[in-house]
Order: sequence, then C-alpha cells, then structure tokens
Amino acid sequence: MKNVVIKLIARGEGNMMGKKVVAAIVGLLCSFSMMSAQSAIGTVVTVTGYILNSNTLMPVDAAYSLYDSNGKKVGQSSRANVADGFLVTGLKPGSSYTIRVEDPRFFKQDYAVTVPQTSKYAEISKDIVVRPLEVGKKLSLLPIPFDFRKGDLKDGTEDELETVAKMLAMNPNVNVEIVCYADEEGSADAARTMSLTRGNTLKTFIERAGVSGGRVTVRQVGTTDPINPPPLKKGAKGKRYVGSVYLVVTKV
Amino acid sequence: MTRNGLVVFLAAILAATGMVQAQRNYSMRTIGQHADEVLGVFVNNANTMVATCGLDETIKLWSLPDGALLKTLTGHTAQVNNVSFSTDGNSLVSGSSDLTIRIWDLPSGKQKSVLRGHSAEVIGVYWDPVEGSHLVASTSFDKTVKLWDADLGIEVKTYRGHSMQTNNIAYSYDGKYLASCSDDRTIMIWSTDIRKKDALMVLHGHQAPVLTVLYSFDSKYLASADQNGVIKIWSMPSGELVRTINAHTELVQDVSFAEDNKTLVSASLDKKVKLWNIETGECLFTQDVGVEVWSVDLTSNAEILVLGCADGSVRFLVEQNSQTGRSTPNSKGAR
Repeated sequence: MKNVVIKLIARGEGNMMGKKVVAAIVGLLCSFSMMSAQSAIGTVVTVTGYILNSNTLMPVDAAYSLYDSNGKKVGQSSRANVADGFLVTGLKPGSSYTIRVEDPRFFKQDYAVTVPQTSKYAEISKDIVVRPLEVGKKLSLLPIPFDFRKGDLKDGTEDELETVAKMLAMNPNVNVEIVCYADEEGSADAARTMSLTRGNTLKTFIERAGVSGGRVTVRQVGTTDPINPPPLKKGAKGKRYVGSVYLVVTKV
Repeated sequence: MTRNGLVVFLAAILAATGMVQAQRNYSMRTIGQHADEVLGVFVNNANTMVATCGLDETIKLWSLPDGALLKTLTGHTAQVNNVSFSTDGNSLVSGSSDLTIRIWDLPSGKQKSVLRGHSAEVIGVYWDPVEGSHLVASTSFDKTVKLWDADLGIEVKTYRGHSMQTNNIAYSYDGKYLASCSDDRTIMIWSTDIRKKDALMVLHGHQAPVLTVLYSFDSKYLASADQNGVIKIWSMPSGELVRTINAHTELVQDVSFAEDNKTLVSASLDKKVKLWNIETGECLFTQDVGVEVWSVDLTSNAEILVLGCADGSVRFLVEQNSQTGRSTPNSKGAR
C-alpha cells in the first residue's frame, strides 16, 4: 500500500457542468478510496486547487508529478482536469511534498505543499500558477522588486526572485530577456538608463543564484509599459505605480 | 407653551422613545502621518488600539483614545491594502499588493507568518470574529475568496464564483457567514462550513463595482458600498434589500457599524465622512475632511471615528460633549 493516495479527477469531453458532476463523483470515489487506505496510513488530507496560466489566470490542464520530502516520486504523473484545470490529490498529514509541473508547454517548476499534522481539516486548498514556455511570451515579474525611481532591489523581494532563479535553473535550455519599463513619462534617455540599471541588477541576482549569465540578456527600453502604462491622475489614487518588469522567453 | 417650546418638547419625547436619533457633533484632529495614502483602518475589540496601513507599505499601530503611535510594522514589499485584528487583539492580519497575507504578533510587532496562495494582489482581509478562532478570510484581484488558518499557516479553502476581482470581505459576527464583494457588482454570501463550496446567495442591486461589505454586530444587517457612492443595507440572512442610500458623490471604500447596530459611518473620496441611521436612512452627521478619505472605523459607541486619508494623515473625529477621549468602556460590539 502506498502511503499516499493520488487520484486525479475525471477527464473527457462534454459541458463544464457535466464534467464537474463527474469530477465530484470521482472525487467522492477518491475519498472512499482514501478512507479505505486510512486504516493503513492514517488520515489523508485532500488537496484541491487549480493550475492557472500566469498570463491569463485561466485554468490549464498541465501535467504534474508529486514528490515526497526525500525527493521520491509518489504515484504516477498526472494531469489537471482538461476541462477546468482542477486537481485533487490525497496527502498524508505532517508531511511536505513537492508538486512539480512537468509539461512542455510550461516552465518546469516546483511548488511546495506542506500538510500540517492535524485532524482539523479533511481538505486544504492550493492553486498553482504556471508560466507558459513559448518564445516571445512576456512573463510579468510580480511583485515588482523595485521601489519608485530606484534601481536597486527592494528589501524583502529576494524570496520571490530566488523562486524565479530556481525556475530558470530547472529549465536549462531556456533563455530569457529582462525588460524593465520606466515608472513615469519623461525623457527617453532617463528611462533607458533606469531600464538598464534595473535589468542589470536582476541579471546579477539571477547569475549569483546559479544561472549562467549567457542565458540572460537585458533589453533597454526608453518608454513606459504600453501594456500597463502609469495610471492617469484619477486612476492613480490608492495605487503606487512602479514600471513593469518582464522576463521574455527568447529560446526554448 | 410657545411653538418653539412645543417643538423641543416633542423632539425630547421622540428622542427618549428612540424614534429619532440625535444629531451628533465631532471635532477633528490629526494624530499622525503615513508617508503616503492611508488605505485601511481597523479598531480592535477592546477599543484600545487602531491599526492603519497604506501605500507606504507599512502598518502603524496607534493607541486609543490618545492617538499615540505605538509601533510601525514593516515587511510587506508593496502597498498594504487592509488590516484586521484578531478577536483577542493579540494578532493582526494584513493583505498586500505583494500578493501575500501576513500575520503579526502583537504587541511585539513581529511577523509570525507569510501566507502565499493568491495569484494577484490581496485586497481584503478579515479575522474570524469568533472567540479564539485562527481563521482569516481574504479577497484578491484573482477573483477568489480564500480562507486561511493563521495558526497552521495553511490555505484551508478557496471560494470561487465572482467573475471579476473581489474587493473586500467580512465575517458575520455569529461566525456563520462570509460576505464578499466584487467589481462584478455583486455580493456573495458564503457558508463558513468548510464543506460547502458554492455561494449560498448572490445579492444583486448595485450598479457599480462593490468596494466594501460589513455585517452589523448582531449579524442582522449587511452594509455594502460601491464606486458610485451608493450604500445599500441588506437584511440578513434573508438577503432582502432594506434601504438604498445615495450617500456620497464619489466612491465609498469603507463603512463601519457602531455597537448599536443601527449607526453606520461611511468614508468617501468626495472628502466627506458621514454617520447614518440605517433604520431611517437619516444622515446624523457630516464632516468635510478636506481631503479624500479611503478608510474609516469607530469605537463601539461611535465616540471616536478614525479616518485614513489620501494625504497620509490619520485623523480622529472625537465626539463633543461626551466623556470620550478618555473612556473606552465596552468591547467593540455586543456579540
């Protein structure tokens, strides 16, 4: 008996509602299966969530595998529901796992899931955001790791950047270009200078995290972001705008 | 009896019978300053402390009624959009555009945990008002409502249903329901029973994005406010619309109930703060603050209103001719 039960809910075609009903039934069966396994392994916590495309936040049917804290693969590789990106899996309380997205359409990336040692919850929630792997795709870097008009990294943003560097390290054949836009309308020279400063700051961070500098280039831009420009005066209320930062995939 | 005397006499009788609520008067003072716009204000249950947060990425704690700055909490890496105290006042939750929710230990001010799981900016946060609960609810530009266990640091549940960004969240004080509001112009009511996933009810009626919701302390009313400055009062749990108040000429980002469950304060970008009797729709008090007001909260008896302003100031409106300023007699609300 494996110590973790993994069941992925229904696939197939038909309308969304029908699929959700099927998914619910399979989920229920999954729960029964888990219950029968509980005598051997103790309580199982169901983890449910969606796999979402980072650019659209729409669900995707990405393939993934589950690994335990020793790096051992648990069960078969699976795929989120074709219809709505929904995933459900049963995990053992008091354990840590890694969900690894392994789908050629997306960056390979690890997502940690820790299931606390408690009987309080039969189910917990986890959404996974995956980045599309396609030449020319712009991937937003959020939260933006710079302060307004500053070219050095903002304190506290290192964790997120390390996640990005780790993702690049896991995808050694992928090259990216860093593009940093200006915070405000102004001279193109000033915008280009800031763009280059910020780009180089990020490149240095990524290199120090173990990614070859040859895979990362910096593109200098002399404008604000045409996709997400600085807000007009009224729209600026209640928001602190800093120029967008993107990773653009240049080679897959 | 003269005509004026008769009017005074009748008004006194009506006030005594509770048929008319007396107008209230306040004086304003600035107690401190953030480095940028103040977006969120929250008074703790004991009426001894108020937390504010804003574009400067900090959270500040101030004493009540004195208004002394107690502590500045730093750690978020983008603007902090909202804060909420735990029932016992020993913890605080904050939600930020850095996509995180953070749990803070009070009074030490240390960050206890960082909760990650939203895929876009976190806008609303609310600590479960049931005594001893560790549950926290949040809303986000990712359209979801999430429930977290602040003690275990895990994401307990995701509620899905809104078709646009979710703006704010409120628990009912009996702990049974959550209300979320959205740019999709609806309010959704959710069961806090974690086995139930779908919305129990969808409230329609707003003609603009709904920016905030809040239950009265007896959980019998829900107040909502929108981008057009309209406030709606709903009877709960039926969801029946009780009243629509054309309250302000600009968006209303925040409202708050007093412990009498019928006095509501609203704050708006039209630079006004107003007190309302929700049973009659009567405006009890208007303060022209002179600057846009993002957020407002009040002490239980509405003797102090705390304002979070777009110029970075934190202001108190203190009721005149009251003992306020010195006394904080009751816990916030009667549960």
